[in-house]
Amino acid sequence: MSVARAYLWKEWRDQRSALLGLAAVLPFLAGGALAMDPGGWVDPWTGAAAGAFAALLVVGTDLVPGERRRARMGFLERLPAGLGAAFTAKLVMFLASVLGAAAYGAALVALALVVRGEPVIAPDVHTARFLLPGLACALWAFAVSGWVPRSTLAFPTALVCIALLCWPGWLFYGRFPAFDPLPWEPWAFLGVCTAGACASAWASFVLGCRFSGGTGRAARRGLLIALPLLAPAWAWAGLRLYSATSIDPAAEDFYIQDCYVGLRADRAFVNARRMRAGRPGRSGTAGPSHPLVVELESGAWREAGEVEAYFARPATHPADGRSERPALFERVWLRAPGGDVEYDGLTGEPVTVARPAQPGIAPPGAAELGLARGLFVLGWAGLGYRVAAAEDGRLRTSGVFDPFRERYVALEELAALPELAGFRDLWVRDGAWLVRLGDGSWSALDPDRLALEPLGLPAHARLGPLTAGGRALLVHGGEPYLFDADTGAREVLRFSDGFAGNVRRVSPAYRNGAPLESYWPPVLDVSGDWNGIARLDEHASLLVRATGREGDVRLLACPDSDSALVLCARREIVRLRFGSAEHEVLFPR
Amino acid sequence: MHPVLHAEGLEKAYGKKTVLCGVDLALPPGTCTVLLGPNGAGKSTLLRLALGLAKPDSGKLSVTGFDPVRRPSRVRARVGFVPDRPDVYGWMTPRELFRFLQPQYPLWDRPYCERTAARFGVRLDTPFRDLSRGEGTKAMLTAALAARPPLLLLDEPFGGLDPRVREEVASGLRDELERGGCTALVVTHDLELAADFADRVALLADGRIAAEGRFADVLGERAPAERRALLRRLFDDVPWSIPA
Repeated sequence: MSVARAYLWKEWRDQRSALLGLAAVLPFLAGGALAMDPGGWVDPWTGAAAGAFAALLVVGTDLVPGERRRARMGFLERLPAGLGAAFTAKLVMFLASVLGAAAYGAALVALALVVRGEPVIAPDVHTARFLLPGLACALWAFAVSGWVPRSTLAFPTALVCIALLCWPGWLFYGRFPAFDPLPWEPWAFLGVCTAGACASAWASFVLGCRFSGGTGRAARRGLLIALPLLAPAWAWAGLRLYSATSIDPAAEDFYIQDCYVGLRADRAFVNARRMRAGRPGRSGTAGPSHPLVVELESGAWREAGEVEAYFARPATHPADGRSERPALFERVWLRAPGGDVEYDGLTGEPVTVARPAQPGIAPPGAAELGLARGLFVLGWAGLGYRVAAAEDGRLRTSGVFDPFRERYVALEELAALPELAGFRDLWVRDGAWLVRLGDGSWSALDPDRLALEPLGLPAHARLGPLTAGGRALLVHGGEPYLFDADTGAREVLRFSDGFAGNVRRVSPAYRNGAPLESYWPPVLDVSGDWNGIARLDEHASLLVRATGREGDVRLLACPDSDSALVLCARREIVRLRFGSAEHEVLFPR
Repeated sequence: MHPVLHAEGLEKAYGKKTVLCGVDLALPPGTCTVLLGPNGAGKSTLLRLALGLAKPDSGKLSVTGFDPVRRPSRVRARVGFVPDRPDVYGWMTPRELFRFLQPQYPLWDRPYCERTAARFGVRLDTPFRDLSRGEGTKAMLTAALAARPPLLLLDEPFGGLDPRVREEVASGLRDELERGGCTALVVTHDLELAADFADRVALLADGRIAAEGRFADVLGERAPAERRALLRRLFDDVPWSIPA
């Protein structure tokens, strides 16, 4: 007989009574659980888990304390093979008893289900994913059992120990769902945990119990090994935590999600995030929000609140739908986990005199618009408003408000006209409304008579935004036009700099989330052979391009009629001049 | 010849209590040395140090040519140890103990083990928990001898035994020592028996070896009865003093 076999035999003889007792009791436990199982949750997996847990409590946590209790540690230590061979045998015995009891428990439940004529659910991969965490926890219980004088204390102590060892991960992953672990991270951590448990158990038993060491010495030795082993995992979690909680405008993963410009256009309220790189074949995910107040004159910036706070669309807005300076905000809200704060758009500081919070999407004077209580303006519907009603705490579009007629039209009223079923767009204007029907064609709708009249536009014509006068921009055949729906007249638009490229689409350049996105002066997103923003000079029938930046350009505000503040590539705030290639990067500098 | 056990300036303290302070001891090969000393003198501690079960605070210790702290496995494979009372599992029988120990001792002599067990009348298939202390000690001594160790360490092997069993154990030990030629260090309070089979004596007092050498050198040429009487008187006289 080899030394290893001799020690394994000794462990078996030592634990034989407990294991046979467990084998005798488990069938009764399985039968009882199945008899009292109204929900049908007892399956082979739960049987396996129960068997493993029972073996862990009865055998696994008593392998080391049992030696102390019987005062046999000295005998094991004075033998030539020493405590190392005893530890190896105990570890093998531990794994064999826990895994064996798991298999036994699963087999018992499966057999009972078969006898009862019920289907046995085959093991699935999803459930198998719990095996390694379970094994890691069990191994920690085994390791910790050497630190406590009684085996009954091993499992609760192990739970405390696991909580302490894993707290960095819980702190991080629980707090920032956007930074969920990468697929390999839990497995790596569990691998480190498993290896750390084995190493810690070895150190506790072999080093800690050497020279007649007690439980305190065993605990110190075990922790001395466990801490450096788990330190890389903590360091990694800390690195991830830092990357989630810190923001650096110069970093490659810096990303501006939203931005509101203050009333004097000298300050921006930025919701910045870090964009975590995507996995292969998948897009990236954004980290928690960092609200920044940026001084556009100097490029200086500061964090306005705690991580995960964010600036929200303003409660009030100077625009009345005809503002000449779109999307400049008098005040913005900082929505923070600890409570909302109102920021002054002029000073960039929290306001000292709080005003009652208003629904962020309600325009000032909503009551004067003739809207009933409980109705809110969601945004534009042409030159009118898209109106929503609160249902079960959620806003659902309920109709449109026509400011020219001072009339609210509910969707139910429009449903009386069968042709309007499934309409895609509805633009309110002074005169007939414009409706894009379900088939993509445009018609004029008389809201008073509920009568539809086709506009006769070509099938592939794209209708752009409305001007203040009610004319619509039309793109057809690669050329932009101004289209008068009342007369059917078209007026060709030219680019002021002579650009003659193909235009595919013209759309409003306001996507800033402001409820009262201004239509004047109309700044447009142009796409086609050239992509960027342009200002419409309706009187001259010209489109004035701002060519300083092209591509991913998003209008933030127009401080004056000649310039625009734009967000470029979701990273930079840039001032552009209409009619020139001049540009100035305001943030980050 | 190099001593089988050689201690030089060995010191050991448990907390603030100093147990050994500068022990110098050398066991020549083939000798049987009795280690005498009052309770708490550090006799068992010296044996634990020799087995590598405790770490000396300072000093040098070599057992069968190896440092017990650095090479404990080498030392333990060459040392047979009999504790003051059997320290094996209660469910274990002497036969199971021998099978368990055999692979760990390279010089294990199975036929000799069987012969010795038969000679001592060891009940091979009775669990230790059902054996008397004397039977257990004889089984432990059998296991220690079967390893054919160069050094035998016995910690109070005769304690708590009735006179008949004590005589059996002592005579068996004496015969095996004469036959096997191994070196032995015996801690005992049974001076009469020790005087019969030991040829050397070491007196441990105040954490030091007060005297060490052949019986004749330490205690003078005296008849066995006179030697016993002297040793008994030494035991009772605390603090110790070595007669001129």
